[in-house]
Amino acid sequence: MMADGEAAMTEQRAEGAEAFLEAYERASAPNGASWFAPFRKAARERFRSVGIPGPRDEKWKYTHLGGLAKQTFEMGSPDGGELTSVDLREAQVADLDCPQMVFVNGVFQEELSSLPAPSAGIEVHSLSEALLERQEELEAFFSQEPGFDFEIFADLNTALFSCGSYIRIRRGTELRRPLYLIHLTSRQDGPFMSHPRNIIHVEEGAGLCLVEDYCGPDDFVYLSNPVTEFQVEKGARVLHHRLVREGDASFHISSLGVRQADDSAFSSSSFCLSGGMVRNDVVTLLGGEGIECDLNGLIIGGGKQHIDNHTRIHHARANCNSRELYKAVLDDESHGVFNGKIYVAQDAQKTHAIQTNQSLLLSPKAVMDTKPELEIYADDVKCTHGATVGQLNEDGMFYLRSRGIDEETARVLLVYAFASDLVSGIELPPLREAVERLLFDKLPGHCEPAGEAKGAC
Amino acid sequence: MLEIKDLQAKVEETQILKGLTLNVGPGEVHAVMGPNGSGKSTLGKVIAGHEDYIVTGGGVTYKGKDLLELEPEERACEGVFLAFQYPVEIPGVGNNYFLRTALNSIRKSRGEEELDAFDFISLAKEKAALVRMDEALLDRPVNEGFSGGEKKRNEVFQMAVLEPSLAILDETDSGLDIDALKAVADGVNSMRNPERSFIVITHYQRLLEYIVPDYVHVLHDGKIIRSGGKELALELEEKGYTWIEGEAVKSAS
Repeated sequence: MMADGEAAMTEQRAEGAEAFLEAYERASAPNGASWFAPFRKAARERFRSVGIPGPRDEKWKYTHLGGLAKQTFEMGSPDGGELTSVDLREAQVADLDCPQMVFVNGVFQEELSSLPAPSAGIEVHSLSEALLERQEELEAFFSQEPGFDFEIFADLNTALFSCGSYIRIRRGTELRRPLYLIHLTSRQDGPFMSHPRNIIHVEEGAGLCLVEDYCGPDDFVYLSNPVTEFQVEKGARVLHHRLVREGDASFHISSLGVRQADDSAFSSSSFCLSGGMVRNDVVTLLGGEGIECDLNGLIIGGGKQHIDNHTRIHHARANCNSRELYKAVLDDESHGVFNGKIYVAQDAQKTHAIQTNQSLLLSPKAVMDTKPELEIYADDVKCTHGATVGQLNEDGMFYLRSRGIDEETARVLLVYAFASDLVSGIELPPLREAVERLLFDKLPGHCEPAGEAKGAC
Repeated sequence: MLEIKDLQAKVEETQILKGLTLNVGPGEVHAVMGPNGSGKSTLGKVIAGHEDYIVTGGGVTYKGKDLLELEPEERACEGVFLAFQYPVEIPGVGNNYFLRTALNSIRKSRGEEELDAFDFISLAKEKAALVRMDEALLDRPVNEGFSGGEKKRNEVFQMAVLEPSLAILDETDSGLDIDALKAVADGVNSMRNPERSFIVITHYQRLLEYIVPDYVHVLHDGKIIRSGGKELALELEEKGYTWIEGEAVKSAS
């Protein structure tokens, strides 16, 4: 019986996988450079054989993809979709006053974008163009490395992507302004999918601040399956912000991969403010010594949202520090997941790794699953992890209410207080204010962002 | 103005107040003293409306209204203020923002116009000076990283801004050095007027040298066992709580 059931399930998963690949054939999207064809083919075969992960896959235990497998997504038109600059302004999370790349339905929109002026320090390309011209630079990004295991959806991306960005910050270049990548999905006739790919190479001693923003409409079924890869060379510094503002019926499955060399620093903060089913996989490979790696994430869940953050930090060499702080605020019937794996290889002595996961449940039907995983093969390391799941602090509620503040506003203030360290950690003021505003919009009650109190008030 | 009649209250399954009666008139300052565990803080929490404190008997009326029927924020809007023994830290929310939100919801309930950020800040600065609180604390998150003394000053500062008609100070003197104690007392004294009443809950007589009460009550095992003028505090200081507890046991038998 079991065997039959499993066979049926495997078949179903394979069929589900096949549907994605067929949609790609139908769209007859440009296949890109010929050198790249074997990579695509290999990724396609891996995706075909693994299929869509089921609940028995340990890494997908709390995030069921039955809803995804049932859908048939189309690739959309090769030109993406219509979007005016007015629509764009509305869609932007904030005016970051910086160069930006705009993607609509997975397709790069040159007219809407404002690329930085070509200079010796920075190159920003559409990936489809770069693939044709820069095989040598890009090849390494598609080669498999041990210790750098993406989930199967990254293979799906490799098999299907048609657009994305290739960003290269030259040795020693410190950018004054951030770079903003905005990925918009617009309403289509039927379920739609996009697989953007961003490849970012930050060379020795260079510095970059990158904002990635994914947003789409409510009441529309779509899948965005982006993969973003960073190569952070010796002594380079990267500040990365990731916003998920997807529609309530969407699937957002992202993979972020980071390879760090000696003395580099990478700091990423992700903010999941809306979306139907969201899964973020972060894989970082600390491949040198003296590396700093910070991964932060904030989930604001409501309705029937499902948001899953999976991280894997691979300490391969000695004397590196990693810190993780993931927080979740879950209301209604939302479901949050955190799975953080810290792998410390035998050579990675003097590793210092801290992982913290804190969740606030605002409703009795909200659920949080949290799972730290430590796998340590070195003997001289300091690794700590802590997870808490709780409700709003009653003493705090009473304190605020005893000052005349109504219950709803008091709740909002305390939720804000819970999330504030992640929000106030955003170093770009317009982005920080925008995230603050989105956070307050999401919470019940009528309250303006409290950030103004720090100074202006 | 405040009438507490035979008040009985429990926390979880522990009965703490066992028939407390106290009347506070307009402009009066009442000190409530007593040993640890006698129910002093419970009295403050019950008046302010903490939901963990369940009233099992008796009643509290304030300006003729049944106070126990009101939510904590409604009580605040009626003019009740509790200065906490252990003020709560609220990271990420500026002290100014928090207090302006509080003041405006109280003003709104009274049909008064809300204060904008500019009007508020000049009011806040004036009141901070009154309790000799560092203005820099206005911009900091509520109580976060404040020293014990700063937290207590912040409570009195909030009181000065919200201008309650009944202020309950719950061991506001505990953990204060003499300078901070004087600053807190000066703040309170400057707010004394014929309409505003105070209940000063304290373990020690020291605070009462600076905030001179009209009445002193001794709380023991959930009841007031002795009331008197300010000299009662001195007598207590001299003879200790065991003396009065002994008296209470004698008179009961």
